[in-house]
Amino acid sequence: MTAWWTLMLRDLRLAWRSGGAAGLSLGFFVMATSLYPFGLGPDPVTLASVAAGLIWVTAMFAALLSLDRLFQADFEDGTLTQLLLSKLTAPGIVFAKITAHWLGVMLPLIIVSPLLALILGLPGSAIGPLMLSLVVGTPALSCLGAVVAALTVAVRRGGALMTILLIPLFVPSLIFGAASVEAGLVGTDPSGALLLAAAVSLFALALAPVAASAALRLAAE
Amino acid sequence: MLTLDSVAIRRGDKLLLTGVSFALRAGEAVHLKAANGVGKSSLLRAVAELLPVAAGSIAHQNAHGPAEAADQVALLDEQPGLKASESLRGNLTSLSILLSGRTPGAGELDAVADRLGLAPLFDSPVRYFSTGQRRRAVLARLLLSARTLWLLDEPYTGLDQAGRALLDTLIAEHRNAGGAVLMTHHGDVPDMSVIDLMGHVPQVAPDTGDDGERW
Repeated sequence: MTAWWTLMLRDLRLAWRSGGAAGLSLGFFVMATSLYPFGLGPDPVTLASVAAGLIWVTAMFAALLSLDRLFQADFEDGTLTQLLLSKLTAPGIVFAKITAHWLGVMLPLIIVSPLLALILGLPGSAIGPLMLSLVVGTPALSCLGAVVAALTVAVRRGGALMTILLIPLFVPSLIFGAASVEAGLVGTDPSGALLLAAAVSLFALALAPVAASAALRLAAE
Repeated sequence: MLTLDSVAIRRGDKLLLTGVSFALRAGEAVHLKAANGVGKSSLLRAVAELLPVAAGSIAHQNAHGPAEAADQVALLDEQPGLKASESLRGNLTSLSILLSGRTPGAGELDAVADRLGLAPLFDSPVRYFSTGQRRRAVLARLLLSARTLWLLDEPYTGLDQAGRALLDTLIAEHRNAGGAVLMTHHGDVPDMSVIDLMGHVPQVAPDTGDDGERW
């Protein structure tokens, strides 16, 4: 097995272990989304009109919840130093951790999203477009999250700082992701918004490994 | 194997060390001595290419560029570098692949754990290890990393008498196999050349001399 796969699979394993980020984020996503009907009232028409946006925003908060420990745990126990001395390049380390984060934390959210869509009364025909928009848009959350997590890795209580820095960066993905679902609902072509969400993800994926690894190297000095 | 040429180390605004020069050949070991806070650990991190030098150069034999140099060193510092929730077996398997690039045989890991007296704990999460057991687990990482230059920052900390003797044996074996060791320790270590870093501490910090330019 190569070093890259070893790191990716280990992160995936740790994410799902007790105290890992994945279960916490998934629990938050399900619990928070099921609160909206209580606050907004059970009227299916009202709920359905905002369902896609609510699911997108809540998925973002769930991602924020998991991202602050992305590099911090490795930084605190000295694993980061060993990783920088390993066979992997620093961008390779970041890419492995981004991949593990998306597969371990974001993908389970996408898998349960149809259930939450039903709770919020989203029409069945919109569930496919919702999942597609999340698949295309959420890699940007993992990538941008990795950059900010690397920048704040040595900051005590960096989680709160990270949240404030990250929310503005998440806005483009949110706009295009939610817009593509809305477009499907009102019968217009969703592909434009979807492609823009994909573009944001690809841009973030190109940028994140280089930017985050530079920040990690500074933190490891 | 390793050549330092008038190396200076800076941390933040403070110049810690200047003019550190020495060479380390295969089979040799150097014991760095200095008081707390002088910059021994920083010097080791600079040799591992984790910290840029402020001046001078650090050359690793057969390495072109920092990435290849980092592939030759194994660093033992105060942090364990082990995942608390993973078993020792899981930790050592991952670290061995990450550091040496090859998957260890099942017998190989068992032999290393046995050698370090950790065989009964092999499948327990590292979270339940005592300080000394954790330090022994870190020695296992050294053995499995297959690196030629060992950088040991206070390696005797937390080890009992048997553990210290074991570490001495491991260092001797590593040197006999053509490896080299650069180590910091506050006590005496037999059979190593000693470099006293106290002579390389700058007397007046140059950064504070430019009052005229500040306001």
